[in-house]
Amino acid sequence: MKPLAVELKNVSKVFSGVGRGEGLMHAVKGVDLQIKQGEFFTMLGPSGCGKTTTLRMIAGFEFPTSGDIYLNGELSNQVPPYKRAVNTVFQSYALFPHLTVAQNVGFGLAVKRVPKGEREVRVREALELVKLGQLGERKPNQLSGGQQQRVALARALVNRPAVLLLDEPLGALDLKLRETMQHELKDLQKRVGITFIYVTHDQEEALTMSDRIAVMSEGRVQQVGTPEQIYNFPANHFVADFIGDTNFLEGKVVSLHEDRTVIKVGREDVTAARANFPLMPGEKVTMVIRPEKLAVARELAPALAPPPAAPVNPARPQPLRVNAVMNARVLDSVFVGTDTRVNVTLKGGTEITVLVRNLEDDEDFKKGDKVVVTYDASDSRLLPAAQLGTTEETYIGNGEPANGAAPAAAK
Amino acid sequence: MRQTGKWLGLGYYLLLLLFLQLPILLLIVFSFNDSVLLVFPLRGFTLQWYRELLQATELINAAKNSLLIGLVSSVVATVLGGAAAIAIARYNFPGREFFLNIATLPLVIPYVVLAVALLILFQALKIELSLWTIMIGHTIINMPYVMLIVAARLSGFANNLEEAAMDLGATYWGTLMRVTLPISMPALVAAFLSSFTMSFDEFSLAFFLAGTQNTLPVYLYSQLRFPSRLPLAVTTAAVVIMVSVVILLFSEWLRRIGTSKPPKV
Repeated sequence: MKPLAVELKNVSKVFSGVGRGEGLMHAVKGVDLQIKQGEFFTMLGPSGCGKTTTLRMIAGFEFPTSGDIYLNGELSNQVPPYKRAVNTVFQSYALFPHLTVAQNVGFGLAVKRVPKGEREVRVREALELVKLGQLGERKPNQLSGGQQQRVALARALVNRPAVLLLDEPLGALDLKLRETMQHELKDLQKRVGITFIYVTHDQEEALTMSDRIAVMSEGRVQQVGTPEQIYNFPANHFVADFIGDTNFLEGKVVSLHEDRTVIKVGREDVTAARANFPLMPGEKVTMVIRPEKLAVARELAPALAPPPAAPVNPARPQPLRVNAVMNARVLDSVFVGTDTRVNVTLKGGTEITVLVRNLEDDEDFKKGDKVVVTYDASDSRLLPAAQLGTTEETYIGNGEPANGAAPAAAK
Repeated sequence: MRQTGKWLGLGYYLLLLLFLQLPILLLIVFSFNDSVLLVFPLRGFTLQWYRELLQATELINAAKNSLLIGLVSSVVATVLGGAAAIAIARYNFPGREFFLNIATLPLVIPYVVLAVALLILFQALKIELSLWTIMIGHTIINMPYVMLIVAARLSGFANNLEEAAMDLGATYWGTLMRVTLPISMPALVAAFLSSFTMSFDEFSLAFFLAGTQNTLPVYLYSQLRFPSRLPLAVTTAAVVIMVSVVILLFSEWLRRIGTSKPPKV
């Protein structure tokens, strides 16, 4: 069996804040990751979550304070960057301004004393791979941002690394170009078959491109999974909140059933899916459901009635399977192009958002209208109520200061 | 109204040019004047002073000394100052700020004070005054300029250029040779040239720290006591000015091609 491309075992990184008198900064706290050969793996999280530091430790620019890093099965904690079969595409590209594009791409080969003939062939191939065949003699500052980005990519790929690290490589590009590059990158990765480790704070980018995603926050991995798993089954409050839009309904367990859980949210009994962790009646839980999994109507009848005999409007998405209902009042409704966001409140004040696909025959909801919100209970998720950092493997709440117990430890 | 402003501005500019450049222009004019006295009206064109200049061995010796001191002190200053600049711009080490402040201190100390201090130091260490002591003095005053010029250049480049080089397989040494030095080169050359000019012109340190041999500025000063030597001093100054202008223009040109297009980040 092939060894893992990259494996991190309980890796932590503490910076001592040189010259700023800030004490210690715990950038990465006990991260475990297993990245397979040929995988497109993304580390996703807000700025300061430790994703870039983790990437820099894999590249060898930083050494872990504790824990172990294995590259292709070999312990590589203190191996300098120039001895790792890993190449990086930097956020700012870091192209050498005094060299031409071709010399930039050939840099790694020149350093490794690859004969000139072979070097030229490989540089040409790499430039063609990123569709820059004609620009070899230009200097980097004569290229556009997107072209510089491709040069950076070619410069890394020409060395045929075992793992390619990408640190927000599309961050500096405008939206249109970014979308094109997303597809090109994904396509490129499939063709060359190299393991990509991609760092981004853009959840859409992560969901589109990745085979698997590690969602990070406050120096810890919150969840690892496929884009579908991360989106549909967020492991905790942070992941649910960070990925896409979501409704959080804080409540107390009323009753537990074979196929569902009933919780009390405010003064309303709400049906949720069965929890995948042990629960007792009376316990506090959070129910999570995506706005697009909810539907809103003036009255219950059409929703629970048998499907109409008339031909279904083909533009309308498959009618939601409905087995749960909440009573609510409309707060406002906001037109957002293809959809309308209807914000409603439950009895007791909990606000939720429903995303309705816009169609010609839609009714207008006005503030104060009485409505019913319908959904399939199995589209919801139950999470333990936010626990303010008491449990390691669940949500790391706001109760924990960013620097942890660092100042005390510094003394 | 705008027209008046424009004329006022132009007038101011011309006056400024006149005051700044006229003395230098006069120097050059009088170096060709056929008279010992520096007075108008001009008497006629001559190359006599330039001819005498070529035969004044003492003066030529002083010029050679200045050239030698200038070359050695600016090479040493460029090497040491350049290394310090790379350390400051590229590495984060404890006491970095403190080091920077100490290293640029000679910028704010009057040269006379520095000269006296060095004189005392050399005497205490029983080092005999010679061209070498002047070289040491000039290296000290040139280093901060070199450091600032090179550090300014390096700070225009993203810090991760060196990381990228190492990522691509270059060792620390390889990174220095293939990336850091090449991108610093225009600044290093410019720093070397301005160091040289500074050393060549410098008087105070050269005056205090000279042994038996003089530098050109000190020699010229000593000649001012003899009225008959005045045209020779004027002519020497004219030559120095012309050479300095050429060197400064060259170094400015280098600095500009070096800094005109920092890479977009």
